[in-house]
Amino acid sequence: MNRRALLIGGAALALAPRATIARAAGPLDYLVELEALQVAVYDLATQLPLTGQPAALAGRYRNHENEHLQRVSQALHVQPPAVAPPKFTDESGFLAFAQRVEGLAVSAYNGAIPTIGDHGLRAELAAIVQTEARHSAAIRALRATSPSPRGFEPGAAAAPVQRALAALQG
Amino acid sequence: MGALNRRHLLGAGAAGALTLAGCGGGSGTTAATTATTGAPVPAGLPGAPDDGAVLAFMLGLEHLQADMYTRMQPAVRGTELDLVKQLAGQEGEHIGKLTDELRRLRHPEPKPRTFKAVPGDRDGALAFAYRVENLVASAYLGQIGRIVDDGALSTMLSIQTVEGRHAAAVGALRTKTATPDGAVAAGQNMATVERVLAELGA
Repeated sequence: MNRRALLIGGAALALAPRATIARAAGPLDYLVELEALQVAVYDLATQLPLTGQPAALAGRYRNHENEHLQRVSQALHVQPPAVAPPKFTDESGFLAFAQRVEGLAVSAYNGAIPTIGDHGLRAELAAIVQTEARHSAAIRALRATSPSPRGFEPGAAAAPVQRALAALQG
Repeated sequence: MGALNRRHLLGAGAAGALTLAGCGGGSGTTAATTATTGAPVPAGLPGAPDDGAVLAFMLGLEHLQADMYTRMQPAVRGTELDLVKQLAGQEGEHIGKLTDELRRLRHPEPKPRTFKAVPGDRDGALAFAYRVENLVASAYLGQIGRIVDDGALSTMLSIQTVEGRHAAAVGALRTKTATPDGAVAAGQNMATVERVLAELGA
């Protein structure tokens, strides 16, 4: 009986594909939407008459977010959605909006990564979220607020992230 | 079926059982997943992930950072001192959390580590801290893909982004970039981290 079970198990393994699609238990499309929104934020910022560090930061972070969008959409097999354009018109509005989006991105990724079974994908998204945290800290420093307000950054579940994402585009 | 083939299938079945055990990942608090790509070597085999050992390594790094921030406080003042104290407090929180996790996993706690020396001048101390924070952030990131236990993974994630923030915060005081690796942060393995720590006098 045991031998039979092992034989069946072995046969099943031989038939199984070496790599299955790297998807989490629930859809993670909102991570792609979040990246698309970040691209829109920095795209708009680069069109404003910014100077100094905010101008340099907007250009650099736009490039980062474009790369994130490409990587995450490919990894999750999700087409980037259209997002509502952000509504800010000056440096102060840009930095305030960017702080909110970057903070949300950190919570979103830290909540999503543990739901993913693929360890390679976990590492890939962890590398992206660390960059988002660094963005957030740099923006907060420019706004003269604490760059690291808390000792821990627990993740947020999909539903509150999606609500916050909708509110940012409202 | 010949004996060789049967033995091959029996072996594959046993290996499959081990693989499934490894993918199960301990506490099982998250929803079921379908992926197997990139899964680590199953627990119990040579080279297998060891969450306790990883957390113990990270605890050593946290002790080093706490030591660094305590010893560099005379070198800074004003808002910079406020920031250094805040970061020191957060490293202390990390020490507490990692210690709790190690006890939960019934893994021995490492002896606290210290640096042989920390620069005594403002610029030197901040440059040292920037290097250490970037190194520690890369150390956390380098281990995320190896962690099996759900609780340990959540702990690692919730600290690794904070260490990235710390690096950016210290860098801002020296007009250094917040993102030295560019769009995607780079992780480092323990051996590489230890080599750099040796250079830094840990």
